[in-house]
Amino acid sequence: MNRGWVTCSVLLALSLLLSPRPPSAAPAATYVGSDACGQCHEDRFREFAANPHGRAARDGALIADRTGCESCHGPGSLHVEAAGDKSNPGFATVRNFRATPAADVVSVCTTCHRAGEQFYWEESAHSHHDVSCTQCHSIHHSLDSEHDKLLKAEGVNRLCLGCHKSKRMELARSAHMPLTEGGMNCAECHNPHGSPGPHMERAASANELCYKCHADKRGPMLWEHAPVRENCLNCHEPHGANADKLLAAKRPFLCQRCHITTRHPSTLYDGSDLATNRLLNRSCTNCHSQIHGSNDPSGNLFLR
Amino acid sequence: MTTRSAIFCALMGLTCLALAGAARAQNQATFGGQWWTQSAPEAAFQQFREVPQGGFLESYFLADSLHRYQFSTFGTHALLQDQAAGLRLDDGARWWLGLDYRQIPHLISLVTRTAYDEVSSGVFRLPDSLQALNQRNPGAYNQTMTDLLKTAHPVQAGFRTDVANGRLGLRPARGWQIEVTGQRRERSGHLPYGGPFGFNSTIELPAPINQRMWDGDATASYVRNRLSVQASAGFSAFQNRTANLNWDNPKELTDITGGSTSAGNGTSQGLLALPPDNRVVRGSVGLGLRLPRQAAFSATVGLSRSTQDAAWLPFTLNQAILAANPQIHLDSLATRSTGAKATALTQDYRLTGRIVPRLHGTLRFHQYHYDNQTPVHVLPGLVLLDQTFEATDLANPEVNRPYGNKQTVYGGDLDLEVMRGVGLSGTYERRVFDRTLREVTKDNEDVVEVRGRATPLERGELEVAYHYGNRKLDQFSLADYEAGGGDTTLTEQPGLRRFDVADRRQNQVSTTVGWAFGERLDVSAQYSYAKDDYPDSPLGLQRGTQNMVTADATLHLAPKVDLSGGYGYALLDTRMESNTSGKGIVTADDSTNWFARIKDRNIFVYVEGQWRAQAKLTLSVGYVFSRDLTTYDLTGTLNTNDASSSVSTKPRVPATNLPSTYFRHHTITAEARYRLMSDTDVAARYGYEQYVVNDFAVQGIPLLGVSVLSPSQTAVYLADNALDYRAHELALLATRRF
Repeated sequence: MNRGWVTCSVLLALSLLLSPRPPSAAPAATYVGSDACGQCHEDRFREFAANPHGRAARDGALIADRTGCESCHGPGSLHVEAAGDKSNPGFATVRNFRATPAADVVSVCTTCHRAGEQFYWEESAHSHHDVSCTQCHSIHHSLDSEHDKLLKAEGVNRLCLGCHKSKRMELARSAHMPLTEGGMNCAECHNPHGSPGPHMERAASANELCYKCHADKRGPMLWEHAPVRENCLNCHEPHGANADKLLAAKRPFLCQRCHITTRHPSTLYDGSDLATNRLLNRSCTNCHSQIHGSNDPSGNLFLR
Repeated sequence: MTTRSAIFCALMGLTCLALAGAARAQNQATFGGQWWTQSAPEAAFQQFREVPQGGFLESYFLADSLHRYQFSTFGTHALLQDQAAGLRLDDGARWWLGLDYRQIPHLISLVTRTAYDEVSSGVFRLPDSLQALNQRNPGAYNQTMTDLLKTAHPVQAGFRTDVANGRLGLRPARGWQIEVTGQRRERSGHLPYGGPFGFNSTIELPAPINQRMWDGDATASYVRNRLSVQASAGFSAFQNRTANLNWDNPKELTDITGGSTSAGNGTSQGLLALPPDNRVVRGSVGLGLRLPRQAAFSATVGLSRSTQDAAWLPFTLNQAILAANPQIHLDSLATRSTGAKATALTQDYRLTGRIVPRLHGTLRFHQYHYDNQTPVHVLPGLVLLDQTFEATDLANPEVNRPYGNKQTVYGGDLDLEVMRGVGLSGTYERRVFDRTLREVTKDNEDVVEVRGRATPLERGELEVAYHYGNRKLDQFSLADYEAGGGDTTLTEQPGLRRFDVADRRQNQVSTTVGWAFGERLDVSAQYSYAKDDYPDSPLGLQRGTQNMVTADATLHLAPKVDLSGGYGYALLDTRMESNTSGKGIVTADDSTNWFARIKDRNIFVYVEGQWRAQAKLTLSVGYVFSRDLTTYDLTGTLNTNDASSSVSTKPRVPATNLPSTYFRHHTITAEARYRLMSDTDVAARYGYEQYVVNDFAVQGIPLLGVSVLSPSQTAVYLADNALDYRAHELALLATRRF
């Protein structure tokens, strides 16, 4: 780490810590309890009782100082007093999440949701890009088929692809993960609420993430293949690829990005003789089948 | 309809009727029957799913209260190979329990064939008489094998992963949250796998997969005011119940030792170690602090320990070699297992907050250190391909290389809100990659990113981002390409720079534009460009350029008609340079270099429409098209006169081009759904799928690969594994809400 970088970091850290305190607004309204809300918002009130937030309300002391409608929408006395009159300034004193800035939405939700999945929210890319909780979750109108994550779409994948549109195309490639078929979802690899890993991955590195399902590649092996050990993404495109096995290029071209001569003639490619040129099936890995590493005493070339 | 699906659907139907009106509106079950035809038995049709034939339960959801507890159960595709089911139970915020089970099929081929019999898991045999015949008369090998392979029997290549998850959460007291998770993953089936003997390219076998994996983690969090703390501990274990692959050599019935490529010489059986059992224990501690003035700090430290100590297989089953070389008997070795172990230490620290009212900043440091502590073993020799023993040269010992690495990223981000709806962001990162035992032991990369975004009139979205990365290796060690032990013979071209460690310049641009035209039309488009240049790589990958454009639109055409659709196009253009030489000969003569330019093109189109034709009738249609096309230009002429190219423009030997490969996939679905009663829908669904594949690597594969140029290069394959197909599906469904 060079001196300039250290100086810059210290200055930035100091400025973060010594930045001016924002002005705070004094609340004017007071809390009236959820029953008051139910008198006008009857359907919403009934539905809410059955959803996870509604059920959690009865154990309020375990979670927050206040639960129920006003825990999210704020104190409702002035809104109640307005009695449905939108011209009354008190009507708009409850929080309307459709018109609330992302940071304020997040601050409401993270009053309770700061542990577990949401532990790293404040440092997440979604947070930094002003994505708010209510862009993905709907407390009152969730569409997710399992009715427990309160998603705004039928499933996790559909929700994520609503913004990450290029991934939809990648997932449609001939080699792809079983996301469109429902075998897995985006949130199994990525934590949309943030993580200490790169790309909001649910692991400290790409390899650690892949090993969660592909533990057979974890080793450590007697004979290691260096780029495999360093990063699975050296060879694989996780969201979809034209080449088999999610490979970044068709074999043998992928292998020849790193290997030219090693114990093999580097033959020219001749489409009339695919077999001699080792182009059939899995190409190089027809023989070097243990390409992820071998624990066989005779496996130094990944043939055994 | 199978018996099981008929029984199950009948039970579900009765249950729905019995419970009608009893519980909540969200409870539902969708069931019915489906029939399909397919023009060819191609696995891609059911690669990751089972398309039901006959009665099936498509989905169900049932939730209710039991005293103070709430439970729900849900599932899809009950009893099929791709089924999923789950159960949730909670006591409000006090505790919650979740159990899930799902199956993920992965079908690879339905048309592969083999003449080998799997007599037990992982043990493949040929008739002794055939091996004896080939041994006696090696000149007739091709004819003998051709006759044998006429009797090859079908073998389904593919496997299924069964995943069971459990999750228990507790809130024992204010601020505390404890979560315990467990997962069991079971994978079984067969995967095409190669095992060569040296006299041929490969013997392809349907290698068994019989693996289990267990994971368990417990996490405790404490959150109070400005402080949050999280600690977790866990384990992971992998068990391979078929630890090795053992297969007959079609050329030999008795063990013979001989040259590594001499036709006819070799072992009667091959032996290969499949992935070994391994274990991991892990733990982490996280700390979060909300600091004054809207700043926050988080720190995470994680530590894991991986071990793998599976017993070594014999160096070979070739008794002739074992008899002549007692030093490779496992009993003679000082150690009989790898004793592999590695420690991974992860550190992540981030400080984030508002510097001034409209300026947000983050400082971060992330390090992942994989310290491979596997002992270095000097083995007495190797038996490559079970054919010949190569004793260790004391001056040049064959030793394992326990590769380790340390990946460090530190940097900062600044986000400025210029005005309401307009933001600017900047990032600087320094990435340092340390490696052990590689030709490049360290590289450094400086990364700069700038982003601008705006939401004009709160109807539009505009975002532009630019990324620049410059990776420089600290030192390149040519000695890594040498045979070692004082032997300066090169095993690789000295000009080769492997792309994962080579100097690299990276430029990326991406833009997103979106606009909402009133309440009826939303359109958005994205474009991204990425170029990776490897300017100092005379050989190997030299450049990769990707252009991708996608566009989406949602149209609320009429009060009862919604349409949405999208289009995507991507082009990945890579250029690489290689060299032609005789076997094992490294030449610096670049006149025999050849150049490859490979282009991957993807097109993706989707259209979805829904028309609520009447109060009770809804029609919906969907169409998805995808095409992957890859072209291979090996003529070496394309880039020769490209003055703007940063890659070498030296003369090249043009190779013969390979045929293009492509996959084309159309899917059409149409559904008419009618609300028969307030709680019952009936639906008819039609689906059409067309798959066209053209891939020289997986089509036209002979069972016996006899090369025209080298008749002795004979390989045994599992034959074709990709076919074109068309499929029609028809389903009649009922959805019952109760």
